Amino acid sequence: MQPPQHLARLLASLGVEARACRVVGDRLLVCRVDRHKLASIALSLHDNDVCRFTTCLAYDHRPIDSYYHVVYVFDCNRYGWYIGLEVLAPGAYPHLPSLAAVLDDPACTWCEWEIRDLYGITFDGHPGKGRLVLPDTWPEELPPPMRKDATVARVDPVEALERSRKAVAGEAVRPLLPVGPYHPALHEPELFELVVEGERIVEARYRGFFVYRGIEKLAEDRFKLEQVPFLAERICGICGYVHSCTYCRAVEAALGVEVPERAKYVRTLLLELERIHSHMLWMAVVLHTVGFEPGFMHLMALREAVMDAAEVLTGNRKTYGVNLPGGVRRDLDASKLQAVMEKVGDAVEKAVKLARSYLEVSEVRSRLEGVGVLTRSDARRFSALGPTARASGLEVDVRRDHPYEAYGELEFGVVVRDEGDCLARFLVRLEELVESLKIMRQAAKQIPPGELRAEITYGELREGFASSEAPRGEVVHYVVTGRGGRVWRWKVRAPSYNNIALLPHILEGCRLADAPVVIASIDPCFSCTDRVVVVTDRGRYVTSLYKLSRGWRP
Amino acid sequence: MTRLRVLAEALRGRVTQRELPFHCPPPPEGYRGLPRIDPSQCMACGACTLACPSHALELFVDEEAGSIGLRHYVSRCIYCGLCSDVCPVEAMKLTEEYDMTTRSPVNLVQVVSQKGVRCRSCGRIYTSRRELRTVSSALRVDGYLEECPYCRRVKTARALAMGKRGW
Repeated sequence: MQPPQHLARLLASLGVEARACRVVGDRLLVCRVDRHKLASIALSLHDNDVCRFTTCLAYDHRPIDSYYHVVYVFDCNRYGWYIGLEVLAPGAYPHLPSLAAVLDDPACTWCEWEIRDLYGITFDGHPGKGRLVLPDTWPEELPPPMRKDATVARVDPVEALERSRKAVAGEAVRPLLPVGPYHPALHEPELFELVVEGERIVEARYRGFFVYRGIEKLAEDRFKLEQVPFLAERICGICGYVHSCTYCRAVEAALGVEVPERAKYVRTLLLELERIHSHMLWMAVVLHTVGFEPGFMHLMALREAVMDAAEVLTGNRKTYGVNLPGGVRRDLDASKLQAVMEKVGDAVEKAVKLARSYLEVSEVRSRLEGVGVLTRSDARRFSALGPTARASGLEVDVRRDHPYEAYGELEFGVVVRDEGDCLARFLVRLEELVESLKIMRQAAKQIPPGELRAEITYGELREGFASSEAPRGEVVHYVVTGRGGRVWRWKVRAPSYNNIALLPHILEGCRLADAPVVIASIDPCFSCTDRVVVVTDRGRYVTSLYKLSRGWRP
Repeated sequence: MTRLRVLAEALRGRVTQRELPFHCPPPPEGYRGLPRIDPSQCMACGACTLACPSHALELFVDEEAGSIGLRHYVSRCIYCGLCSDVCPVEAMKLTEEYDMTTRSPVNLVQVVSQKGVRCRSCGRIYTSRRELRTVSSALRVDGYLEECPYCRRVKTARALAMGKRGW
């Protein structure tokens, strides 16, 4: 697939040579640029009305060409393409000029910071101090964990942690109001440090990645390409299916596999089913945070019908274990689908009607209206994603901008509101429930017969890129295949990554009592952001727990 | 008015709780529940251990008892069903069991063991009797299969070094 003419013209006007560009997957154009020109090119792309910053990623290519590759990805949704600006950092001296220093975008700050933590690449002029992803107590002498030569076995975190913790303990701690380390409503680890004046929040800081356990490294070290979907769907407990789908699409794009039509429709149906249950859960949680328990109870009860539908269709309540690179493993029975659609339709219509009536309850409405406003220009500048961006008037939706699976053949609307407050975010998701149901009904009607899985032959060092619209926004997966059907690099960027990064900005100026609902309103998924993985019972955590029980102190 | 509507909804009294474990409603058709291994079919070939993404299956050799077998750690299982997809003799099947409450984690390990076959040269167990029978009836090779892969490799290397082909 070749990029459109105007995209090539845009890049040429910025001084990017066409022969320095390559197409990755089916919709990412990666252009290698000089590291000193990166900032000017990126700035004009970001300030351009066509493109906006999405994420950046790095991979350690030293065993092959002795360079670290860093790719900054921009979403040019009007052209239906992504642009990647690639810069190389020499392995012997990994230094790059920081883009975050000029872009003023917390999402960019975060991803450069993450690369600095995980690869040891220094970004000159980067505003971040300390660590983001790794714990503050991560010992200096240990290698950055994502480097190819840093093996899991060589690191003894327990012993090293003990040493460095002593060094950190001396620092003074500023008096701040902590929200966390567990979220007041979502039961996930995060920590917001709020500076308050009276009831107003004047400054907010975020500390997360408490559950960062190196899922990407795990996949590189121990998994085969066809096993990773089962790991990918465990990144998130709510929108797991979208991760496995996006991963599979990235692999398919890397290997040039054409997925059968029926498999595309199966995936679309399940993706929308997931969006429905996720949005219903989110609405219930927001009502819970504003103290409206009946709403929580009713919506959760209705959501159960959707979960049962997933169980009937996939044999698992959470639609786990359905995807493989090249297609899907299970067929959807026509009669089952019919029965399920009726039940889901019924539940969604009821939930929408109920949620609308909750918003007329003045106590609920006053807790949401005008609270936690994110303006349109800020949403653009800070690369907000998904419903959070759409509630602030940004018309972005991966399903429409970069059609994947069967979305190109289905009709649906993109719900946009201009207010940018918590109420707008509520209403956007509410309307999206209706749109999702519409998509599901069309897909169930149009689903073609045929094969479920295409044959795959694995190749070495092939790059793939895919993005999807998760319930929370755009998910990005980047895969480089390795030798013998293994993973060379797998990068996951969950939508909450960008949205949590801008959350401190929304929090500033809010009332303290509104903090929980503002945090919940972007539907943050901390585990997605941190890329959690369940540690098996053989892991070190058991050892340290055992040591703890024997009187050992960390 | 809206409050009344909310109240009416609340009073409608949907029962959403299930009294587990006293009343376990049957799961829907095609449910992926606990995998069970049929000991009369399993030949401990280990195909499932290679397919399992969560390393819930493990092949073990018990030299003292003279057996080789398969261990399934239920608490690690993710119920994806790849094991039953790859099983050549359909010994591994997903059942509809989902209530795995137990008092002891020991109960969460399924063990199937088979009579092992010892290598003719080194005496170590390298496969199960059932697998050897299945493979040798399909291949019809004499002698070659009665040694473990390691001894076979040593022999081949030695034969190559001595300038002989095969044995």
